[in-house]
Amino acid sequence: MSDYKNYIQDVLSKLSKCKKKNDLNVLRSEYLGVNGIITKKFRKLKTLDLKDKKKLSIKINKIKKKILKLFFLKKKFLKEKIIQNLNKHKNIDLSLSSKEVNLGSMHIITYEINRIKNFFFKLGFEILFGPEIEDDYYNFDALNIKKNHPSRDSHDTFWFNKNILLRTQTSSMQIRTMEQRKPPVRVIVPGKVYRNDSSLTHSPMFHQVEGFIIDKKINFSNLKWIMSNFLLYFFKKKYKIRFRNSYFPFTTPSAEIDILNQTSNKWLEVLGCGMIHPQVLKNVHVSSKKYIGCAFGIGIERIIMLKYNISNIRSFFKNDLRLLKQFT
Amino acid sequence: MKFSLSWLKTFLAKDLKNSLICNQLTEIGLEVEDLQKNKNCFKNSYIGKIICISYKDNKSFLKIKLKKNFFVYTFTQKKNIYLGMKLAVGLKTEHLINLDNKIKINNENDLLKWKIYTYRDFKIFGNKDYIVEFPKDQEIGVLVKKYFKLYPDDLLTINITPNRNDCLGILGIARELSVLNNLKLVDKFKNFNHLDNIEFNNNFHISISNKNICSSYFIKIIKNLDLSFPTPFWIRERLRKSNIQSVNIVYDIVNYVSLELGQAIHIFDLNKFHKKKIKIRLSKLNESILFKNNHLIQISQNTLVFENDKKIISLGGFINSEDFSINNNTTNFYIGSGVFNKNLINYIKRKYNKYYISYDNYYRQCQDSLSCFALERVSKILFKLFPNSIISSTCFINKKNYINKKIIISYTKINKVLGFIIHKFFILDILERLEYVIYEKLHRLVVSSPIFRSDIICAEDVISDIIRFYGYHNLPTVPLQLNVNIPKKNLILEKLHKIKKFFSIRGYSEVINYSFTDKSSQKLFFKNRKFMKIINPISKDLAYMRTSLFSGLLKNMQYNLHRQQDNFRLFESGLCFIQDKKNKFQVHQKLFLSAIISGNKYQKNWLYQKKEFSFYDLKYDIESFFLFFYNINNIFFKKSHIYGFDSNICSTIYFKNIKLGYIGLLDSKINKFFNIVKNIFAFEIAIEKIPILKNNPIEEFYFYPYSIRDISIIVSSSIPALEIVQECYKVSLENIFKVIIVDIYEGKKIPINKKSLSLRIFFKSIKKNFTYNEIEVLFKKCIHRMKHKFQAILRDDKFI
Repeated sequence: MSDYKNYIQDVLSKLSKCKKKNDLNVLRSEYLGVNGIITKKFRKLKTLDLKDKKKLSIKINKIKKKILKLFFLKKKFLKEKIIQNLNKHKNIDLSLSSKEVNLGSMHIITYEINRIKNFFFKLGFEILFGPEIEDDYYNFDALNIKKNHPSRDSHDTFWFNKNILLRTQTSSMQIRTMEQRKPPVRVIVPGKVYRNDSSLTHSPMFHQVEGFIIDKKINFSNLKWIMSNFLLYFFKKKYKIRFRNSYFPFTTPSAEIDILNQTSNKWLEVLGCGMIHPQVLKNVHVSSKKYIGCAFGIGIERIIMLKYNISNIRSFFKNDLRLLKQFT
Repeated sequence: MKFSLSWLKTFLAKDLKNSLICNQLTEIGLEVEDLQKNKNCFKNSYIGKIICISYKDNKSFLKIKLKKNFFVYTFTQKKNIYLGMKLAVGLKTEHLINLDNKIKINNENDLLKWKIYTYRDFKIFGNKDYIVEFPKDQEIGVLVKKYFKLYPDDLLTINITPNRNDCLGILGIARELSVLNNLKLVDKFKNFNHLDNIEFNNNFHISISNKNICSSYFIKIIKNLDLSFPTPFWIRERLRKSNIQSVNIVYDIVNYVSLELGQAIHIFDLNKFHKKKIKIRLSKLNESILFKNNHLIQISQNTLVFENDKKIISLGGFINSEDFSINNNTTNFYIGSGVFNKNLINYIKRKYNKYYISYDNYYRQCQDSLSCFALERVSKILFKLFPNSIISSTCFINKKNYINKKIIISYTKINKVLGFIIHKFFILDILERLEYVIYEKLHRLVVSSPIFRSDIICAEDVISDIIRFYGYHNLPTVPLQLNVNIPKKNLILEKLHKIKKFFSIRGYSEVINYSFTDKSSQKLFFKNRKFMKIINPISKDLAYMRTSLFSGLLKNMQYNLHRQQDNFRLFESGLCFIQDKKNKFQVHQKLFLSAIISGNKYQKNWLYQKKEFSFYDLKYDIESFFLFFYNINNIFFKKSHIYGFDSNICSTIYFKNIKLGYIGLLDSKINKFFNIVKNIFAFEIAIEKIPILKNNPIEEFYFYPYSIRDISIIVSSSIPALEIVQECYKVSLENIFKVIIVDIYEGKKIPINKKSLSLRIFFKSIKKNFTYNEIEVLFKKCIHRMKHKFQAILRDDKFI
């Protein structure tokens, strides 16, 4: 029994000197490793006869168990000590920051177009996009804009040659879509359009969202519902709107919607819409007896300017970082 | 079109409120752009009357009566004065004078003390340097402010859509307003629909080459007029309110009638005609017309022209030859008006608009009887002023009596298009008031539109007219029915949106630039590429379509650099246009995403040192973007040479074997061009080439611990690290789950052109725990491969 006590005493005194996990590992291999003291004892057992073997093995196992338990306790103790130390350095200056925060941003136009997309997606509209260089068939002829129509003037349209031009409206996608699909369709087309004009409120390139429905049951009152709800969704508050007659070659009856700008107390035109002209339907081989269509076009910059009180349309394309960063 | 509301009101049977008129006109499609309110710059002036004029040294000395026994003496250099003229006078100091307290002012009697006001002073339209004139019957001694309160300068500006040719005159607008308010139009001009009362003779010969180009043409020959005679004040005043300058009496009256009735009328000098004949025809090849300053213009074929003795007088009556125009000495006039084919007029407008001189740039088109009536009205006004004049008329009328074609509409169609039910009687009432001819109305409508409404072509146009007068604000809002099909998502747009979102979260700012830019900045990226050129660009540096997004991004960077920004992470996505003659539109339109980074990653602060962006920052963003969507193992970067990029730092990005784009450091000549002294790293990716987003396949993992082995090797510095890593994977894809490069070293102790690489290899089996020996075998295989393939030398000799 004295052996047993000696061993335990020995281990205890050595353990008390251990301060790190590594020391513990060294000590462990000293006793229980391949050439450890205890392991050696076990090896010795082989040479003894059965009676002694039995007696001694019980003894050694008892020591081993006790040592293992001591190691386990010590290990636990050391871990707890580390965890305790973890929280010691608490006193830091919380007012400091590691780096200046530098966030990126999507362009306000992208962001708002995306909101518009979401609105129309919920109403069952599919979202498409199309080419920006078009020929006069898609941009004019098919949309019932005749050869001598004023909007064909060279000072409104950018031309590459007699037939090829930069699209002046996203309505050209009405034709492209209907060439590939059969009604009923509900589609919106956001995209860039180009007009040869530059001023505070006109930019040579701007964005439009074109939308159209061709279905058996669709009517002018539906269109008014869509548009007034869209404006309510877009501006997030109720504006005074005015629904009035207008003229577009590709729709009849046509309407324009104005919004009352409360700061200047002036009506501002925000979008145009109407029932698709039977001639346009005929051009894409849709029977105007069976189907009826409505379409609308929204000038994105216009409504964003109104929403955020931006006065110069060219601010959108100057890409001043100080302005862009506000859109985060 | 601009005119005074009071003029419009003379046609209306009831006095309507100004604001009501504006709202009603706007709602029925004649948008009121502006209703000019009174301006308040009348500067305390009074209306006075000239009672005496004497001339001395190029100046006119005036005695002006303001009140009984109250006279003002002053002088002016302006020419438009006459005895009895009513004008505005005030003190130069602009103080209010008390007319009862005359002694105090008259005592000084200083000529320089008084001021006579011109149109410019009052900031109202008119011949700027002319003295403001008031009606002859105006009471004197009245404040000008008061006068304008009584007779406000109520100018209306209306935007008329190109289809409403009939509304280009006051009459047409009044007609619409009368229908809307259920009033009868004031019958100012009796029997203007009857041509019978006018006597025509054939003194002047009209010939028309083709009946389709002209349906009727009328001429008035007026002789013995005196152009020095002043135009009556009321005509001048109305023209002035429509922003039309007074020229001479004939022009003024013609302009006045033309604006009132919306008809185009042209005037020529009769004495300049060689024979008394005019031919209306389409132009032939090589014909020309003479403009001011002997400017000869070629006329393109098939343009509507008037000809007299082989000389071209005019293009459709709108653009007139200098040869036949009137001057101050003209006494005999040729006044004409006719109904021509609409397309021919539009053609003239499109082609020759820059030569068109008119008071408001509209191309008015005539209606049969109304155009004749307009000439009649001109001649009547002139005859009143010049009783000695001799007037004769000539006309040409195509026998074909023009009636608009019949349109058939069913009542259900009207309700179907509008989405609610309008009562039949209401429809009939509106159409009748709009002067439609109704042939049938019991079960369906058969109508034809009035002769002046050339814009009504199909049934939908008639419906448009009905809803216009029913009132757009009365239209109900009916919810849209749900779609049967749930819409498909557009994969490319969705992908693009996710990419944009990702980059904006990573600190990039999105920019949007014009799709056209200049040539020289694009040439930096493409040596031999041809650019799409716009024929009529906004300016010279916006004349070419972009072929890459870089030049726009770099310009943005330059712009912001000048505004003290030093951290640039910009991206843009959009179409680029690459010329391709084989394509139908001669162009490929590709959707690209490009980004540049440059400047400081972060500024120096208490925790970090200042650090600039490097290639690896940009690459890291791209890699994490791909990892966000795909398995990173499929993405490769392969060093390549691309024009515009630095020859050493540039690589192509591959997904499996698809080339997605490229990434690298921009060439220094680009820095030079844009005057930027910082390194710019950039990438460009073709959006459509990025495979459709798929979720990574989900695998279950069994937990077996991994083992780590480190190794340092020396290889040739030209060997990319990635190749070595990939070689390691080749040993066993199952058992090596990760290889990372811990350290790269070049320099001391390492031979020239060699580098030292430290790799850490992670071994792991998904089936069992590895034994020591198994790992050793795998590790040795790796070493063997590296030695064999790259002639690698181990830094640690332990394993040799």
